[in-house]
Amino acid sequence: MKITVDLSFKTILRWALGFLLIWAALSKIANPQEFYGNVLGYSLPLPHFFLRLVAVSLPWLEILCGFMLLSKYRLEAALAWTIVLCAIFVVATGQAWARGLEISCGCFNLELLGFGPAEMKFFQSVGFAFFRAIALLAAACYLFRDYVRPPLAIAK
Amino acid sequence: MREQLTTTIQGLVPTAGLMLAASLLLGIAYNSSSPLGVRYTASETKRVSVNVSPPVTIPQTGYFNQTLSMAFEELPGTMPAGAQPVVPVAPTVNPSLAPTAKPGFPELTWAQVKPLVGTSKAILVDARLASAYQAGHIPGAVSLPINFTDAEMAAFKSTYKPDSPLIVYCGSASCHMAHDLAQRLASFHGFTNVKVMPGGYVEYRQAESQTAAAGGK
Repeated sequence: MKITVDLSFKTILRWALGFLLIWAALSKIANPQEFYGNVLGYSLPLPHFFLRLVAVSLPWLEILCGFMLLSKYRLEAALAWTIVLCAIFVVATGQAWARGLEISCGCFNLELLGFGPAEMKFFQSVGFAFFRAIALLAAACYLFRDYVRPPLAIAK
Repeated sequence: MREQLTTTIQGLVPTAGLMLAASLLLGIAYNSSSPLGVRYTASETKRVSVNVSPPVTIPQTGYFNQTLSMAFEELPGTMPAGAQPVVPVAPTVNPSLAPTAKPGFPELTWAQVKPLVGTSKAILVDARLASAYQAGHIPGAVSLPINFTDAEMAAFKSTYKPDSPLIVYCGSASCHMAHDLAQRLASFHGFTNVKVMPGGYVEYRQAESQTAAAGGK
């Protein structure tokens, strides 16, 4: 039996997005209170009740999306949620950056990569997180357009 | 084209809804069972009595000994009859504690903070959630969780003056609540003397256990 592995750009991008989401989710699930603190640090004009709900559920939504992207199970729904999540990250980090808040984005646990304090400060800054969120949003939109295109293309 | 797109999106709604429901259930179950999870109840509001009550006034000429104050508070009846309140001591400048040249808030290690706390020259502020504070904290630290309410901040501000020397800490070096709280205290609440102990509670525990081990030899 011959097993073929599709190593197209689309597949690699899907894997990368899936692994990133799982990594981000595990970083948050490992210390939920810290993530809740990060969420509050954004000083969003939303009630604490809602922010707590976000802190509780968002990492699990990320991990579901990550595994579904890797396994291609219900890919369209996973990509749709990924787009929504990335759009939220863009808005949250963008407003924090614009307001000059010196907070960490709370996105990924970078200690595993052995970064020093200076690198950690840069990679966890809201400015860097803003551009990273835009890149992830663009990748998710590209994949969504590509995977959901067939029925739309038929309609043409 | 628009109809096709609408149909596609409508087709996603049931699965997307299921994903959201599953995330909520998983998140609530996990956080309820984890000792450090975010509780989705109003129990966090109980921390008010733990944080800054009874209110403490910082003397104009020095600093209040928060460590001893908290010790008496935790052990009622152990204070000998007729004992006098802690006498404020005049602050002395320790050259090794000069703020670092890094941008943002000056960062201190536990080795630098310990002599300050011991001589009551600083107020340690625990930025972690109330449940983590109650599970264990640096002696003498007051709890001001990052998710403080307006009432809690009002109580904190009525207790501590804007120029009070605050040292904020949280869990460990990977925790950012201390910096986030320091930012909020300085930017939005007018506190002008805010420092951060990035090593947090883990650094304190490690340092103290090493000290205890060295002392036991």
